Amino acid sequence: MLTDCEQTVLDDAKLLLLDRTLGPAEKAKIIASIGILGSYSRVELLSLFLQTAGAILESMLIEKPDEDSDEGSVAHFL
Amino acid sequence: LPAHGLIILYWSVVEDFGANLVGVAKYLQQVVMDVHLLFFRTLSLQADQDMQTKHSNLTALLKTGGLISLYQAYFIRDISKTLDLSENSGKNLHLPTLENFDVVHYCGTQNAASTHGDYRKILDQWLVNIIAKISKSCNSVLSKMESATDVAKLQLRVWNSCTTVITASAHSTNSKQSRHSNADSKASDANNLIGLGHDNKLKLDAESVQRFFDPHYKASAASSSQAGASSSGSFGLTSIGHVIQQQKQHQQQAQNYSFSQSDWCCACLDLLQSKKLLVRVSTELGIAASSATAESANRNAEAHTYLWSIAFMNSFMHQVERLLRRSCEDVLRRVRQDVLDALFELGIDVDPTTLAVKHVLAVASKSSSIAPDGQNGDGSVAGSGGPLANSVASSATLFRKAESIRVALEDEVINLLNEIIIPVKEKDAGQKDGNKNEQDSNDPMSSSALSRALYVQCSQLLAQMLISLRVLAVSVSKHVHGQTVTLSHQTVETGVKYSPRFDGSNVFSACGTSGAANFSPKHGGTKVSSHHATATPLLSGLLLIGRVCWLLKIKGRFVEDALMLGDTSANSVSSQRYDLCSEDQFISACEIADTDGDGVLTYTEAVEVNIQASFPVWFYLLLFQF
Repeated sequence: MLTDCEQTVLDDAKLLLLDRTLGPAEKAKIIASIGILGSYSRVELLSLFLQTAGAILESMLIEKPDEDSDEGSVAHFL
Repeated sequence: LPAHGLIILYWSVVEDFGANLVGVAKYLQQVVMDVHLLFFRTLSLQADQDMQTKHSNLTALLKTGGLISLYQAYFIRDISKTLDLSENSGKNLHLPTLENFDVVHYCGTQNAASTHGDYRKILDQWLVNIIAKISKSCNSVLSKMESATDVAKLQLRVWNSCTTVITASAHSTNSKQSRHSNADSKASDANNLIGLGHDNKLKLDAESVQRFFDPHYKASAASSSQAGASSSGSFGLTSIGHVIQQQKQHQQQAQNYSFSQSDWCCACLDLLQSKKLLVRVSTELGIAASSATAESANRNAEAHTYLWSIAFMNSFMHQVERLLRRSCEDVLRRVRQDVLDALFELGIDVDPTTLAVKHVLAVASKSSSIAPDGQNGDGSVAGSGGPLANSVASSATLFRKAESIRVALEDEVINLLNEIIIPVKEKDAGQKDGNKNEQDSNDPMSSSALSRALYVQCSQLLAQMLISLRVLAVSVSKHVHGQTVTLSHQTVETGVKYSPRFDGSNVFSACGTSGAANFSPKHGGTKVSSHHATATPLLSGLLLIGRVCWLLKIKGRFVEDALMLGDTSANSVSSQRYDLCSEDQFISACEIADTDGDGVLTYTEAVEVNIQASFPVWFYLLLFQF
């Protein structure tokens, strides 16, 4: 059972995995830490990583209407 | 995931990648490379000399148990560094020592093969889902674009994002700070949207920063944790803090991590080179797996293009073909209207839908005699045509008209193709001038598909054009033949011998330079003169149509020249990856397309069948039909 503090750190660490400025070495350490902290297996860690990345990608893919443009959502996506 | 963290991260990602298609491609590339490096890449393939020299003992120890992943190796290195840190700081963090560290437990008890299979299942499923979503969004956006040039330019940008990585980048601290401040302002806006106040956001950010960067905060947090989780929890906090400190040092050094092109190729080969994955993606998208894509999966030299080919290429090619098809239809409509206008000026009124001759305007000549009421015996209207309706058009005039129609078609085709090809050329030229060492910007698969689409669409365009001309010729010749038969019956009744050399069955011979002159009654009369007056526009029309066909035959290479405009050395190779069909194959295809079996491929039949052929064959077919 994780404490609130540990859970918060764990959640933030998941987000850190998606930081572009971090290299693979740093991310590997984060994953190792998350794995130990949350008792995740490596397969679960991969799922976690992809789940978070998928959420970000889906957020990027959401079409937002552009009120300033007659072309609607096209302008913001190009 | 906590909402505020996700939103802040989202805006951070937006800042880094941009909330557009190029950004999506870049981010997807980043994720694939991360997954590859963190979960799939084995230490045996790594050349991390620093790690191997510093931790050779651990590496050797783990290697004895089989392949270990880079993740495992970094994990071990992290543990050893953490141990050093704990020893230096003198804090008792209850960390495992090297002697009692359970390698088997932390590196997993399953063997490498089964783990790799589990990874593949998860990754492939994720890729299929996310690619389907990307493709859907891509199609949705591209379908709203009306300019083929814009699509081509966007395609090049996405292609570059998918296939190349930043090989060397150094973000200045100032730019990074400004970027982060910008991201913060956007995150503030986002927090306002979800009901969080500005102060609340700052408080959250401050806590987060303190949590990550303050070792005392971490120590206190660890000491306050429950005893059962203190060991693992303190390790995790210290480890993450160590990572953040390293990142801070990186920022101070104004360095940003970047992947190399070889990393990307390696990731593509390991993760995306899978026919099974291609089939699953194609099935998910509801399309047939492209043979070009399947072929490319076997070519390691094109490894860097895999992401593009499975996630984006189909959408772009579909939209480019849509725009090309529409443009070709516009060109066909305009050029066909030019032909109909030219025929109308000669006195032939043609229905633009069925291409049947509706009315023929009689030509006023010295020997002709038009009925006072303006109606001839066969119901044709006299004296209300275009500028040439009241006089016989000379061959030179007709040839000039035919040449103007050919030139109009040439201009239309060149403009059509330039709209697609020139942006590619400009991009290539710009990249060659700007950075000669950069990865080749030509997309071999897209170039091949684009070349094929151009050939197919241009073939369709010319085929439709020629079919229109042939249908026009047949329609006019039938009209002439009908008049000839009527006149023959009348000749029997009146005893006047009328023997035109043109009998309507050999249209092409009538399209020669003396076609109109050959239609000369040996004996003049009122009826004969009247028929002569109405037959002359028809024969002139036939001459015009035949001349246009002949000009396309002898000067029809402009399409080929226009298609070759965009052929760089790479494209010329790629354009030969598909075979143009032979004449025999084409005739066979036409026979199949001739659904009613009358030996004539009509306009409607040709529209219904997507016959892919090189355009010169159509000319031969047209001539054969004549």
